[in-house]
Amino acid sequence: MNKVLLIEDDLPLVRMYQIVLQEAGFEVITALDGEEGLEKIKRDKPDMVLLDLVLPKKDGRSVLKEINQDSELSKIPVCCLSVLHQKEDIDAAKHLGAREFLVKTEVDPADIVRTIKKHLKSSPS
Amino acid sequence: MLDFIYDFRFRIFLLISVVVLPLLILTLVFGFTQRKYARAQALDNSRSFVNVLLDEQEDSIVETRSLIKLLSQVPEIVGPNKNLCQNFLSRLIAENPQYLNLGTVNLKGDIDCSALSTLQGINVSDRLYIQKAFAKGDFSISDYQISRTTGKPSLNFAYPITDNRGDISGLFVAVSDLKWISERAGLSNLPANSSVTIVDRNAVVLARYPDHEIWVGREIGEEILAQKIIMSESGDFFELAGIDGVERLYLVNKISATEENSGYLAVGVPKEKIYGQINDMVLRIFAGMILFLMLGFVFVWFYGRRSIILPIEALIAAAERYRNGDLEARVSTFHKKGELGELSQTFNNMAESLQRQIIKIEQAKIVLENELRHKTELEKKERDFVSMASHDLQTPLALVRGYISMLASGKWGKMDKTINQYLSAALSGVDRMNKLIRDLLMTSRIEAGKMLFEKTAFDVDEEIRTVCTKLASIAAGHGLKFSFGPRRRLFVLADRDRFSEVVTNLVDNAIKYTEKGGIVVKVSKAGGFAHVSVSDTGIGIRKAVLPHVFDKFYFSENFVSKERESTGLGLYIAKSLISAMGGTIDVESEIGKGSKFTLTLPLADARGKPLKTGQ
Repeated sequence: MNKVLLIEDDLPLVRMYQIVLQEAGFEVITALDGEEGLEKIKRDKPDMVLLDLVLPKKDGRSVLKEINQDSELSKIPVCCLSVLHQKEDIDAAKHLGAREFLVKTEVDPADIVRTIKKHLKSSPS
Repeated sequence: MLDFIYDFRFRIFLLISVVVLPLLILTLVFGFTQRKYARAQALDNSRSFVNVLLDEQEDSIVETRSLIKLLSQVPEIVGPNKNLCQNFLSRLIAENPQYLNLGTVNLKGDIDCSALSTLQGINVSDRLYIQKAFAKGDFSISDYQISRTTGKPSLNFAYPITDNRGDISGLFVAVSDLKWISERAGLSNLPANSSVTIVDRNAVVLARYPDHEIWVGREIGEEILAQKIIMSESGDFFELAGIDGVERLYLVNKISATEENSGYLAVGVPKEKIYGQINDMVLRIFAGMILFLMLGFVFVWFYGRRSIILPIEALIAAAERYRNGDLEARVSTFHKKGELGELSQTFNNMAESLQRQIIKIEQAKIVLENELRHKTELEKKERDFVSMASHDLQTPLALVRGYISMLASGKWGKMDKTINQYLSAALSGVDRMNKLIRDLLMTSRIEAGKMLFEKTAFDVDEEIRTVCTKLASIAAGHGLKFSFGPRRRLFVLADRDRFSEVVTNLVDNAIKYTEKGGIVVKVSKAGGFAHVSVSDTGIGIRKAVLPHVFDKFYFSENFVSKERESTGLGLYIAKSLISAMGGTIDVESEIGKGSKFTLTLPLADARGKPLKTGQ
């Protein structure tokens, strides 16, 4: 079963994404802030990371930066999932190594599942 | 090394010296004049002494002549009795001490009868004055000389003795003592320590005052004085050290009684007596002035230090302290009066006023800094508030949207057509809300001046064709005809994304408010600007409303008659963005016929360089 790490601080959203992802057949790990998220990436080695950008303790950009700097971690595909929608935000995240950028208010849960599957298909595991 | 010459006190001292120097020169000149005058006086004095002496000598010669002429006829003297003659002469000489000897000489030149008996029989025929008296048969005078018979300086006289027939039978001789000259000098009013010297032509001293006995008879030819005396003419004078070593001013006169020169008289007055007083005076003036200078120097040194140097140093120290930031630095105004006092006071006033101003500026700076910090904080808070608010508003929207989508997917329960319609309506409400939040955020950013524009050069027509591809199909979906104007290559320098947003917004509106007909998007250029127009055949906008369509939150019953989907911010944002990029946006419209929105942007070349107007 593929492991998806969801880093998101809004509990209702966490619950909703959990339902959707589990229904789609993924093992879901959650983290409520940037630091916890980074720890779990290192510890649990997820197959995919869904990363909110506005986070307590350590924001999404810093998490992206640290993942990107680690040659092992940077192999894990990261999809940003945020309400930020400005082009500057999207470009900055992509520049820091995010493979996808989904705007929470524009996508359906089905779009998220589709995006994850797209990346897992292309990854060797 | 020579820095002391810049010392203030040194300069004052120099000034004093400059005043004193002419006085010193004047004193010297005065001294020299006085010396000259004193010498002239001394010479006059000496001359009158010489004249007196010469007169007396003349008198004594005349007197002697008369005397020996008389004696040469006295029978006791010219008679045969030598003893009688000797006794007579001895008595006579005792009464007339000015004569050293009196006597007779026979035709052979032997002394026949002599007051000094010891001299009797001595032959004196070799004496020139004896020979002269015999030869001329008349009175004759000898040279000034040391008498060989008496060994004393003398002037000798001879007078022929004649017998009854008138023939010369011998001579009467008188030897007059020259000592009287020395004595006369002693009695004269010559200054003390003056000297009177008589030498013969062989530089033998014949008379000298003082110390007559010591010097008489000495030959002093080796003395420079003697040589100078012998070389001199009457009236010559010179300054020289005498034979006793005393410096004198000598006046020389020949004193020979005969035609040949045989004696010299030199009167010497000590220089000390002539110049001493003047020298003393000049020296005293000099000493006084030097003392004055030294006292002046000491005074200038200490008083100058107290009254000039210390106040100036205090000023310098205060200025230095001030320069190093001590605004409290002041000069202690011990000397309140005078220029230095005024200067100190002025410095203090200046320091005071500067300090006040600096304090004012500092206070103003603090106030300004506080205001600035406050303002910056406020702005940041405001900005943070808007972005946080929009973030927090959008998050629950994401939740609502997600759950609606999940329900609509049918995976969590069977959906019928009606429920799906309702869900779709709910979803469009979420979308509107989302758009409203985004527009508010954008407005807030624009108004805060926080919009960043990434300007690049791009082909407007090409960009429009790309942006409108999706919109064209939406238009087609509404049964509208969507077309572009002729293809133009026009470059502008602007933010491509913002531009696309604006065009999208305009075309979106056109589709929204047009029921039938079509939409035309056209690109042209005029006056250095690229013009982009979006025309529709829609409901149009009323004339009264037209000036307000770009206002913030402006709604009109006409404008929103179709569906209240507008946020009231779209055209305001469009106008703000285009203005910020140097362009304009305008609208023309006619009710029932349609609207035409036109935006302009400054033209550039393909590399982004602005083109001149009219190109």
